[in-house]
Amino acid sequence: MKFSCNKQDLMEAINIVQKAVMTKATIPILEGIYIETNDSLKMVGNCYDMGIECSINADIQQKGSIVLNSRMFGDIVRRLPNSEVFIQVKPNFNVIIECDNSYFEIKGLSAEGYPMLPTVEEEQKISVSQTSLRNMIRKTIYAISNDENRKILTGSLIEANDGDLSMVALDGFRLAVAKVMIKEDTNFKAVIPGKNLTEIYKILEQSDKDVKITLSKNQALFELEQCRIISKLLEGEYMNYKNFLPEQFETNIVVDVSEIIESIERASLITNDDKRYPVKIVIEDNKMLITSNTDVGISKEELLININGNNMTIGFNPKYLLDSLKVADEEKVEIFFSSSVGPCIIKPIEGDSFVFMILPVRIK
Amino acid sequence: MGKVIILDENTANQIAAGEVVERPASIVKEMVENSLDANATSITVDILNGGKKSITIIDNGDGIDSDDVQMAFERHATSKIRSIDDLYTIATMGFRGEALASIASVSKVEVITKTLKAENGIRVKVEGGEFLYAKPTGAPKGTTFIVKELFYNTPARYKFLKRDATEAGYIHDAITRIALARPDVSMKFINQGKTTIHTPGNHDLLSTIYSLFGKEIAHSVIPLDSTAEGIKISGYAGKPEISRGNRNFEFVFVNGRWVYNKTIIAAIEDAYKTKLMQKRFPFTVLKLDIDPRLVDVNVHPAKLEVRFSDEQQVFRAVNFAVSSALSGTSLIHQVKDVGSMKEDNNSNLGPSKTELVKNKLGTSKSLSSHAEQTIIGLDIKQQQSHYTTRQIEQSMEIEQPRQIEQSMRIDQPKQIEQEKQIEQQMKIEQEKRFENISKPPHIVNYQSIANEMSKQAETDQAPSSQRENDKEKLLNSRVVGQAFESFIILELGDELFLIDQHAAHERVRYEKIKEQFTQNEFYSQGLMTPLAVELTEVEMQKYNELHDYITRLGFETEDFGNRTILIRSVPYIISGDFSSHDFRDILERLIGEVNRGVSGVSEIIPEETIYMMACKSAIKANRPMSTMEIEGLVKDLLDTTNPYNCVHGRPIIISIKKRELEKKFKRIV
Ligand SMILES: Nc1ncnc2c1ncn2[C@@H]1O[C@H](COP(=O)(O)OP(=O)(O)OP(=O)(O)O)[C@@H](O)[C@H]1O
Ligand SMILES: [Mg+2]
Repeated sequence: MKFSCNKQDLMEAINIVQKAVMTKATIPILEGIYIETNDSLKMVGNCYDMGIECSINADIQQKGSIVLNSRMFGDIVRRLPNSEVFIQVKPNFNVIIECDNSYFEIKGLSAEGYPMLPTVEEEQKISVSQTSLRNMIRKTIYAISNDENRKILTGSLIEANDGDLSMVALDGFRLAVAKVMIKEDTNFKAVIPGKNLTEIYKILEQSDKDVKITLSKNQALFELEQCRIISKLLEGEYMNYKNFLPEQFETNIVVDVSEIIESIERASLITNDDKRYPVKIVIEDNKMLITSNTDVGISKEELLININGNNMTIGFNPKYLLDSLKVADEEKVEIFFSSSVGPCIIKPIEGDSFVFMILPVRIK
Repeated sequence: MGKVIILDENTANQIAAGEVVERPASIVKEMVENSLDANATSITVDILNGGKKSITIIDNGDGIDSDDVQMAFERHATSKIRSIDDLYTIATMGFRGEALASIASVSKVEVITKTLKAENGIRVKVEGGEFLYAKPTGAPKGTTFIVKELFYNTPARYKFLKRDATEAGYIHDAITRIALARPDVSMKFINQGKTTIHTPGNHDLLSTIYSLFGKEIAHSVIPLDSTAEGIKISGYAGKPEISRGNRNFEFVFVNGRWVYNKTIIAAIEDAYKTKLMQKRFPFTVLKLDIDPRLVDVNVHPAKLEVRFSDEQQVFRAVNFAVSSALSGTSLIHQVKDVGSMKEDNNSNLGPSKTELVKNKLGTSKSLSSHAEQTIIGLDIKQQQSHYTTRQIEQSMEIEQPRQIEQSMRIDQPKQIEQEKQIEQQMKIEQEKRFENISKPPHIVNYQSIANEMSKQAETDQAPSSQRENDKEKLLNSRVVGQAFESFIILELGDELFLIDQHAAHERVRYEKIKEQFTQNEFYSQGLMTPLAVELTEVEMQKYNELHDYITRLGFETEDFGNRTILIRSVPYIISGDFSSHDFRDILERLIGEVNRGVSGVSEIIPEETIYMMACKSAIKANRPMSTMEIEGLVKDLLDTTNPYNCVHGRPIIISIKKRELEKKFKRIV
């Protein structure tokens, strides 16, 4: 095998496939990146839960394949000068890496036995822009649960339904739903492990280019221009989250997002440990009072808001409020309170690009 | 020849009169004390219905002379003092000649008694203070009192009695105190046919403690024995890990009598101050022997409170005794290398020195914690922790227990004076220590380390690292990083500090949860869907009993029928990490803990349950932390009441001196 390519391109591809390489595997081959030259240069990382395949432009002189230790290969390439990189595999599996005046010869592993990505039967396929998928992940991922006893909640539900694509995460205390429109009229449902979505999020770019999502029975395939990402799915039935969303509300308000974020952040300044004290929100006379009362002191923040409905006093974990408000990406949002002990809902003023639901803290 | 005489009126009037019979427990106390005064070596108390229905006290003491029995029931009839002068030197428990008369006036009393010399016993019956009869009867040597229908003729007072179980609890407590005061007497308590106390009467206090409180406590007490300022103090001080949620286990005896004395309690708690968390109280059985002339035992009619002619002196003596006993338990545990000393010894000679140290440490009761901490080649030694100005200052800052607080308000100038004196004395003490320290360093061998340790006076460096100092040091330390993603490493000057990150966060969380529990300010995070938990029949029953505790920990639950409960919200502080199994675990822990509660104690703080919740919500070992996070945790830790030890006494922070490392690398010897 012999090829040359641009260092930058190579580095980018390594960074991407590395996300699917195990750092501590029982057999060395699993700690490696699979490299293959055929019509183009293809690299693969695979850790069973997730596999990533990346193609890059390269000048291929000789076809072949090899597996290189991911960390070592990555570290070497990262430090190479920004120039053309020449890679050649010797019959004894030693790999020569040359770039300008640098020369490396490192041991490779036979590519035989490397777990290649499975083929995904193309059953249902939809496409959505990278930016949209990125945003959906960002708006929901923080709400996944880490309760290993309820495995299904450690992933996000991805659901296509009559031209809508939604992503849902919930952890028992809060729920986040993000939605975009798609052209396809497909119906499907799958739960993707949260940690895979986090990696996918990092690979996605702010771009209008499409991601194609294909679902089969136990895996999902995300296809980008240069990349294919396969994720295992979580087994089991996801909760019927729509049932949790209340329909009747005692009070609703409209608030400026950055104002309320700042107020809550200031209110939680007076605790050393962010989780220790809830914030109390009092809504009355077109004012919103955010207070926290900790052993360190008291804080009070006042915001002008529009109120619709009854006055209300309610407590929240400030982290839950902030997590949601920070990903709202809106200037103003509408907050609906079902009661002082019931769930509250955050929505954009217009449209339904997201719904966040948070359960309050009962303050004695 | 009769022994009981009637005190002359003058004498009688000088003795504070008062209500001795308040409840069944006071009767038991008076009667048992009479038995003790009569030299009994075995006393059995048998009660029915919390003592309301009947109290039977059987002793094997001297008995009462037939001629005297009737007189014994009269007020101010006593065989124990003849005039007021005797009061200052009394060695007996009773002296007022009041108890029997008072008891007999409000109940139906029967006494069967026989002296050694008498041929026959005598049976006497008195009802409501009225003498009914006296007849001869067969009886063994000793006295049996049967007190029935307490307050039958004073219904108003009967009304004030509590539930049977509560009254039985008070009696249990009273007998516990007497049993501790008198390890030479075998005490037996039978409640409703069940024997709940039975002490060996073998003169050994530790066996008595064992029989009363069980193995765990008996294995966690440090003996103390000291004579200072003419006061002899002996007994046991519990290790911090067996601390309690209330003061009921700070037993104090003065000249063989259980007493309550604010000064002594303050002195004890002061000695424990840095070792226990707030609102935790030590387990102690402290016996003071002091010249009776310096003690006024007649402050309270029930003889519970005593006064000393020199309270400060008593404070110092007690504080010294307890602190000395505790001095093995520590501030930052210092890792010291004794392994390198091996080379200095000829290893062919007899048992290895390491072995020797281990044995030495292992057999010394007071040092068992050292033994546990002895790792091969490393001996975690504790720094001198008591008697420094800083600590005394601190003890003045920390809130005093409420009752003591009150007493302090009254004679505050005196108290301050007292503290000053203590401080002064401590300084002298400390200086003496420094003298020892500044001796030229010598090559220490194991034997001498062990010896010095058993003297509990081992100090190879200035005892300067007290709380505030430590705090300052640690806050100014450079964060070196994290080892094994589990231990935080800090560096300052010539010292490295290692902090167990999980233990540290656990300590922080523990104190928070406990504070919220005690202040009843629980926050519950609502759940989107209620969590159904199925319980066993027994668990369900316990769940109902413990509902209040469960709620105060922050759960909102309801009985859903069919042995299923619904959890609607969970404790705020553990919500982020809450897993469906946690509730059961917590309930299980709570059941074990609250059931162990002691009679007479109506409410306990479920320390272990809280600790478990803290553990659950604390960051785990094997978790990377950013520098900022580390700094935050260190700061939080230093704000806790005890940043040094986890609840079970394991160290949270240890330090290693540069010197020790240099020794390891053979740079210095
Ligand atoms: N169990 C007993 N064995 C022998 N003598 C007893 C016993 N109980 C009571 N007496 C005798 O009865 C007397 C009266 O007892 P009582 O308890 O009323 O007075 P006290 O013990 O002298 O003083 P106090 O009122 O302070 O207890 C005692 O002095 C003692 O002589
Ligand atoms: Mg008496």
